[in-house]
Amino acid sequence: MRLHLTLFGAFLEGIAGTTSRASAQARQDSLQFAGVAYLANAQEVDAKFTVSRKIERLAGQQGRPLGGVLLAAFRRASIPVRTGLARSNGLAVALAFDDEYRTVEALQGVGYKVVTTLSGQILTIDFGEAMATVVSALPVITEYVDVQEQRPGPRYDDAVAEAMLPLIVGDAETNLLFAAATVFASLPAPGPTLCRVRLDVGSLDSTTVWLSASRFGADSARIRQALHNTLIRTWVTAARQPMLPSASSQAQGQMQARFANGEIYRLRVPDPDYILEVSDIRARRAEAGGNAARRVDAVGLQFDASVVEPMSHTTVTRGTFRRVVMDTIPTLRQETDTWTGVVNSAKALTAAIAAAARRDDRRWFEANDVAHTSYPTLPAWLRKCAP
Amino acid sequence: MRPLTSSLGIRLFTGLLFAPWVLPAQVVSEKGTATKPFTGPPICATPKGVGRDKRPLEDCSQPSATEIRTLQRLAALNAVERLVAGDGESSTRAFERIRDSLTTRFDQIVLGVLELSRSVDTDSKQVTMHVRADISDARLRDLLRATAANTSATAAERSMMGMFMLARSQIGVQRFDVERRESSSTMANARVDGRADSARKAHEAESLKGASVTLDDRVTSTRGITLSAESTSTVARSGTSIARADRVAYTVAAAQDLESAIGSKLNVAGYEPVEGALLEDDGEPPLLDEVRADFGTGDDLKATTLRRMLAAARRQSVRFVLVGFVEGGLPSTDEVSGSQRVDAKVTAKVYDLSGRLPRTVVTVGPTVHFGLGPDAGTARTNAIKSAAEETARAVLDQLSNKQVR
Repeated sequence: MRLHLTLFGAFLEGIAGTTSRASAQARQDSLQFAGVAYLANAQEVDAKFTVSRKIERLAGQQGRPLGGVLLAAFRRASIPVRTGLARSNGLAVALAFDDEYRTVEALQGVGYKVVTTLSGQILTIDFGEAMATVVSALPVITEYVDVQEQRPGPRYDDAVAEAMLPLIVGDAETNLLFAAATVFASLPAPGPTLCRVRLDVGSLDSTTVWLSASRFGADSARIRQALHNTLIRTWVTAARQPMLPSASSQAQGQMQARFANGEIYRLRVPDPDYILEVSDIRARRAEAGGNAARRVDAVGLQFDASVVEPMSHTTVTRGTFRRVVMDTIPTLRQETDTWTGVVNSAKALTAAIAAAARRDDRRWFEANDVAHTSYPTLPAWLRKCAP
Repeated sequence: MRPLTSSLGIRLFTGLLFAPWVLPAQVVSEKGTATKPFTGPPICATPKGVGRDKRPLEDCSQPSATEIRTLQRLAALNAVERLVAGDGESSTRAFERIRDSLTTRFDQIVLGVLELSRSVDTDSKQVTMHVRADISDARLRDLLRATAANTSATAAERSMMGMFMLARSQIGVQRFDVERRESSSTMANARVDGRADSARKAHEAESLKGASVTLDDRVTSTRGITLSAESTSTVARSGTSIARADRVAYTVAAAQDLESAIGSKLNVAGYEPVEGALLEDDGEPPLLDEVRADFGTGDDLKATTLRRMLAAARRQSVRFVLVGFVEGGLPSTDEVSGSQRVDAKVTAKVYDLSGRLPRTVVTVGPTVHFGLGPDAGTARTNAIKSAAEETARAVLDQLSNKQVR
């Protein structure tokens, strides 16, 4: 079984420029280590997180429990964590799995493309307030892409868990937890006046739903969640702007988590200062070239982005943005990868907006911002909220 | 299933959000708003304007930096008030008393202010600002209590408060099924009606016609019998359902956790807490045993026990007596979290013995708190801790609200 990593290198490269700047800051504080948790009702954990639970068990059997690997990863990344969770004593950090799902797409005459997605967050939790409050979240999303001759059977989870285990708790310098800890350490330590921003994903048009049907069917909630993860990851990476956990990642605005000390907490996510809403998402796709082995598609994406201050309902900034990216697809996956084009274009557009706002690049906004209303308010807002 | 290795791949996506980890503990964030008229920079105060045409400066349509700073503080104070308002009426009243002193201690209470939005109405010359303030909760609470309690008093001037804190835990609950008693009665009615009819008609006639005589003699006879029968049967059932209250067995012990939690807060607030065991009156049975016995069998103290308790306190020149009960329920499994859950019901009263007759100055509860934990013991401790903190806060708020010293 041959494994290879894709995109991960590109992601780390994206944040490399900020790592050195952030790591130069002295950290006088320290975080309590709260371990690994599941964001779900206790009765639902085994049913909802089948692969994650198997990975957790396998890791424990091999003497590399997830909590221990995560703690080592934090310390290797020079994050000042200490063990011994005391609820009344400030900030704690934990890895919490929040979702797990699988999609199966038929490949014509070949088999099935199976994608298993594990989703989690490195949560920073403030125990200083009246109740445990999540003040930050660092999404950690892992996709296992596999092609099988037949649809996955009941034993498939075991195979996936074994295959993913080395990537999550394997080699100390390259495993997923260390990578996540490194990203976490690279972020600046903001003060109490840093904005609390939440990103919401609004409406999708029918074409976007159709393009994603190969992966998610007509499950628009799942499409939005997947797009949300993509947008949030890209935005924060490019704009380096803090954000709260998404509203959709919690059940009814509250999260439940069991931590290393065995206690179960109801976690509260504070109200956002601003809501960055991406809505009216429209995707179009057209063949633009290629050959027998691969096809090149042009994928266009357009959405509205607005920033609203919810207390006064003041719209801080609003704009309509569009972008076209070229998507090259091997013949083998042409039928299944229409969704990838949407994701890639969403990432490209989001990264471009964030980067231009961060650079305060008026020309980019003039060339791409249809409404021309978001300049200069968007860069100014970004400077204020993520200085 | 055979994996196609050429297509096998793993893609790792890692996203990142922010990590503000320098927020100090006991800092609470709250939003606030303020609206204020503005005049602009000082030069705008000149009603005649500037320049030959006496036009107002463009800057006069915007608030000055000083006015913005003032408005920001006002909005932050509004955030503090909103935070306090969430704690109830007594806290709000206490806030009114510290409003002025809060201005002087602004920097200690409000640790940071983030301006979220600002709208300027140039026509009415008013500016509205929304902010999020990070507030030192602990310092704010201390300030609220310090204004009301006699913290500045010397030890001799402080009022003593005797504390009788007891905790009882359910050790068993005997539940009775609903008893059903039924009775039934049957009523049967039967009726048969019969009627026999009989009629006989006779007819005789003679007719003379010439020399002949015709005689006609006819007899008509009819008979009828009508029978009807009716039978009704009625069954009446009635019954009573008898439900008995659960028979609960308790174990009673001194509530050390509750006592220490409340005692420490009373101490900070300027009272001299005295443990109930020190107020014994040397009677038989010992006072605490009698209190425990009462609490072990019911929810209320007997009148004689209460009088004896207050009399013992009065003899020791203790002005206030705090009587608090906490009752821990049986552990159960929390359906949501899967952990053990224990409920704790708390009631508390404070009696003022300064007058001829004791009077109740504080009544708290009953309030129910719950604790979660991996085992029943931890859950019970968490429940009692939560109950103690809330009870202490409520007691002190009411004492300060009534200006009891």
